[in-house]
Amino acid sequence: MISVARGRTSSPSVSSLFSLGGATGPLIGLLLLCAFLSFATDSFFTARNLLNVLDQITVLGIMAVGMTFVILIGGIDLSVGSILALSMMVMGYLSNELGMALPLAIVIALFASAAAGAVTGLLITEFSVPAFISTLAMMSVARGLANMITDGQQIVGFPGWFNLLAIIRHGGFLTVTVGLMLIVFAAGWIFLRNTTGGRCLYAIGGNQEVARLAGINVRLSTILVYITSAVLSGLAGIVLAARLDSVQPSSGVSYELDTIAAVVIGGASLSGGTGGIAGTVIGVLVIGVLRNGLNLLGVSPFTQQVVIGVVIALAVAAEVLKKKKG
Amino acid sequence: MAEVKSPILSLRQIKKSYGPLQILHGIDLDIHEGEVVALLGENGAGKSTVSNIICGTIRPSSGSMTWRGAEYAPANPREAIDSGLGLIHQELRLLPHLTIAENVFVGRWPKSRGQIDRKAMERKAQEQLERLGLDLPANRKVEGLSTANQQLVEIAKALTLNARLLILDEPTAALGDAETELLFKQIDRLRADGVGIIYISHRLEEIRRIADRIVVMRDGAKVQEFDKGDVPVRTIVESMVGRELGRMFPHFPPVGDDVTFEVKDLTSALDAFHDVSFKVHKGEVFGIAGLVGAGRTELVRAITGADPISAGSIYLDGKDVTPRSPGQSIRNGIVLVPEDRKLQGLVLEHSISENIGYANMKAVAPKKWVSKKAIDSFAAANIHRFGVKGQGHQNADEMSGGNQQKVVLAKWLATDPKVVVLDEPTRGIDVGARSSIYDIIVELSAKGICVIVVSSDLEEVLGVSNRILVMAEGRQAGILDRANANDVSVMELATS
Amino acid sequence: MKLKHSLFAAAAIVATALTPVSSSAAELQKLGLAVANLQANFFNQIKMSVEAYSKEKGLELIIVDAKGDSATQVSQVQDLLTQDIQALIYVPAGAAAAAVPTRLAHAQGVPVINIDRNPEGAPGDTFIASDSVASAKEICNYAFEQVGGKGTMLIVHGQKGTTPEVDRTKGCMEAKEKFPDITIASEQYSQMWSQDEGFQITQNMLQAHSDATIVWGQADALALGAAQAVKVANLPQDIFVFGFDGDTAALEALRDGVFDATSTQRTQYFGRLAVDSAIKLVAGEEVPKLQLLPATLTTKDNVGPFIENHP
Repeated sequence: MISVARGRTSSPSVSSLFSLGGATGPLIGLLLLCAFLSFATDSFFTARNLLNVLDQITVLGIMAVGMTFVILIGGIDLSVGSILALSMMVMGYLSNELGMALPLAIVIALFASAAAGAVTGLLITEFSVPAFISTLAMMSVARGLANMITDGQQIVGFPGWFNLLAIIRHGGFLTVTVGLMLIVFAAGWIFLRNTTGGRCLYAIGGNQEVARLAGINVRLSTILVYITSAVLSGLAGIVLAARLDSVQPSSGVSYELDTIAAVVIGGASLSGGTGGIAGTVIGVLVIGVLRNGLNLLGVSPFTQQVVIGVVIALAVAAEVLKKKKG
Repeated sequence: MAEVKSPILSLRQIKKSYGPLQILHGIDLDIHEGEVVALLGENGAGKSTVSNIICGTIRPSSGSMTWRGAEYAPANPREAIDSGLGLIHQELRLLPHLTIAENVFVGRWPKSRGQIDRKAMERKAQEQLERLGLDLPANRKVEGLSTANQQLVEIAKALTLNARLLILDEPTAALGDAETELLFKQIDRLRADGVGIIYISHRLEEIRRIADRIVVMRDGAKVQEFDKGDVPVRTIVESMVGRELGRMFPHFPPVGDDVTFEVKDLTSALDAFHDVSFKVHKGEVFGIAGLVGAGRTELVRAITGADPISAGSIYLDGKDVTPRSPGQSIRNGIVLVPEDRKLQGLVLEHSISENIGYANMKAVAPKKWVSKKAIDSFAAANIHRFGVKGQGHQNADEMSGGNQQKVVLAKWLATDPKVVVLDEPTRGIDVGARSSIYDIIVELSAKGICVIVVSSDLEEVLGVSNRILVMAEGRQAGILDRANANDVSVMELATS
Repeated sequence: MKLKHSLFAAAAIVATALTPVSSSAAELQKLGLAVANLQANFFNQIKMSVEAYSKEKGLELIIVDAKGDSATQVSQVQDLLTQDIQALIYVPAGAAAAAVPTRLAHAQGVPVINIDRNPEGAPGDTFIASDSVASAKEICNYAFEQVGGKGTMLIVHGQKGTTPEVDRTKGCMEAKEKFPDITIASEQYSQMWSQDEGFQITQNMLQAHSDATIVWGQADALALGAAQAVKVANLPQDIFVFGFDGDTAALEALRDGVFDATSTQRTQYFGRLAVDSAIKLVAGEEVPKLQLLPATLTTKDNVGPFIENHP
């Protein structure tokens, strides 16, 4: 009751201008991490290495945008890694086994991903299967389908230009795949910030019943969110195929956990209603820089796993503490 | 009666400050055995701070307390409970997936040989329910119980703690008249047993009925103490708000005959009500009364598309507007201000601006393109228009109940509706905020908007409505004109 | 500054990925090891051997573990190249021996020593592996003789389509041609080459074919799982269980009679040979394109020295 009288005297801060939301902590962490690595290694703070980091986060970054939407509405999507593999295999099969033009094969692969997302969305909204369960089911189904397409075999031998999408740095710094990631980031950011559809996701995540009574079509929005997440996973699969110059059905195992970690490090709450693309980008960068930095430092692979786990726990705990105090 | 009993709890010069801000200014208070003391005051007057200090949730900055003759300074709620204190919160804190018995005994389950003795637990809980006149099996799950019944389970829980002093914070906010009467019987019994009770409520009529003494607080200080409960309502209110009131309810003008809104043979797909028909005239305030469980809330939810309909139709200006979703209803200009503002009206951890924006996306962003600036200025205009005390960037959960309710109203009324449905518009909010909500209702009606008001507060329904629809067990029991409506005629229909 | 370098790198890849590394004589000081998956004993053995031998030679070694994911491995090789390693020992992860890491290294003039798997289209400067086909032929031959040239066989394959799985299967089928009375009743594939998979798969196969007399797990972890399943099934007949690889844990199990035979790969020697090859390549010396090492057929009788000192 006191707070009513006092109000909050501070005007909206600069951070909200960039809609960082709860991500100021992770941003500080990221900057500290970069500062530390710049001093600790000769090779971290070089244009070449930073461009490598951008390369290395493309797949995670694209998937994390979709996951941000899902987590914003209070959902979870465990199927992203499997859908990534399914999309890859559909593309590889259509282009190399059936001889279809690669661009067309890519479009069809994205449609296949969308179909998988639509199925999970419908399971959640029409049959009231919890998101955790329906995406868990899709994770298994999509992985199985990806394996069935070639009976578990990899496919290689794509046209030369395809691999080059992930290699040639236009203007000295921008590969097509990195550019694609930046476009996805920008589109996601604008969507959440400046469109009614994006604002509605916050309302749904904040309280579904409030959103429904406010006239928001919660079911349709939910289905569209899962479709978007699936399509972006499919797109990430195409990017990964370009990066590896091959496709294999075992790709993307456990990527869902990396993706969720990135979104959560970025300040989103798993109960929905808070989070944003700016935070997610920071989360993706934290994971990317950390992996890269630990390799550069020559930290042993087993120690790396420990460090990454500790960082995830610290990032989220710090955010929760900050909220309690604030 | 006070002179023959010794005080069980005394507060002397209790003060509380947060930094330079003093919010309690030296409170003296005595509670005697077998006495019901009503603690009154507008939101922000300091009632909750006093009850939190007694319960050990907050520690006072200075002052002392004695409990049954000994010095008393609880460090935490556990110590207060162990001393024999029971607090029943305004918000329900039951675990929905456990049974009533498990909830009553949560954390102190009766055990035999290391295992929970379910039989003993259920038997004891059942006794307690029967004492409260609650006809429910103790092994039923709490999930799905009506709000009123959940409230009674909360009270049963406190009673099993053998409390010597009970603090009831708005215990009847969710109760209908019949349940309230049951609760009062129980309070009378406790009083006879020598239990002291601090009773916090905004319903002045029931305080007159139940209280032995009334303590009125304003701005963190005790402003007046009445040595009897039966004080005229106007006197109490004047002491609470610190000024003389002209009237409790504003004057509602009579309305014409032209029908704008019509509900015809409406039947719930959830089996909550059947065959309800009524017409609302332009600018009319149409009340809906009934006991808890009569189907009032379900009826208005169905009218506004929130719950499904199995038969019947709804017309606005002669056009069929039977809704299939809340969105459709809003587009037709029919809005529901829902019963529970915290669960249905607001996203508590989002800002006021955003909350207002969610229901007004069309107005804020006609081309589906929104900017923070557009939402903020739209919200600011409506915050001003409806007298919300607060700023757009504040989170909804930082506000008092009255202000939250005004935000919810602002959120819906900003859509420029033709029909406004208010479900329990003044539940749990203070007198000052109430009268401004009544003023808003008058304003709407003057503009020719149909206003439908559902309320458990009979005095309120009678005070604001041009006509009253009374529901009983899912049926339409009758419609009363203002001239024929009084508490007797309404209760007769409601219990028919 | 560095931008020019990366532009050059890209252009170099475009030009060709096949140009052999320029042989400017130099001394190896900084070496990178990209290993497929340290959870697998076989790879961990190689890692430990490279580690120990590099230390002996006074080399700086940087190790990265892809945990079985080829995308991770590409990133890790990028990171290794950023640190200006002079040679890369590359144990490809995943079913596809991804060509991209080799191309990246070659684009920067870094020689690549492949172990165990060699990517199609972009082979390493040298490839070190067991002669899987010959060794698998040898051990299957031994097994068929042990059961008297007659019997019902179950096979737990490795991860389908990987080089070791394909080669080991091929070798064994060659051996089988001489034994017409051996029938293969069932064969199934594992995903991870792991012991619990070996156990489950074998248990299921024994359920359907309780008359089996030979079980082959294409790696020791699979064979150890299979041996456990055989033990649990408690069938009347003797069943000959054998594996492949010669993992340290498996060799001890072999000594204790848990299973019957394996083919010990010379992992320690793999590591030393890889480091020696790296030194030579950096110094501009010739190294054979292909270095196949035979694995040693190991049974209870000759396992002792291998436990003392892994080859």
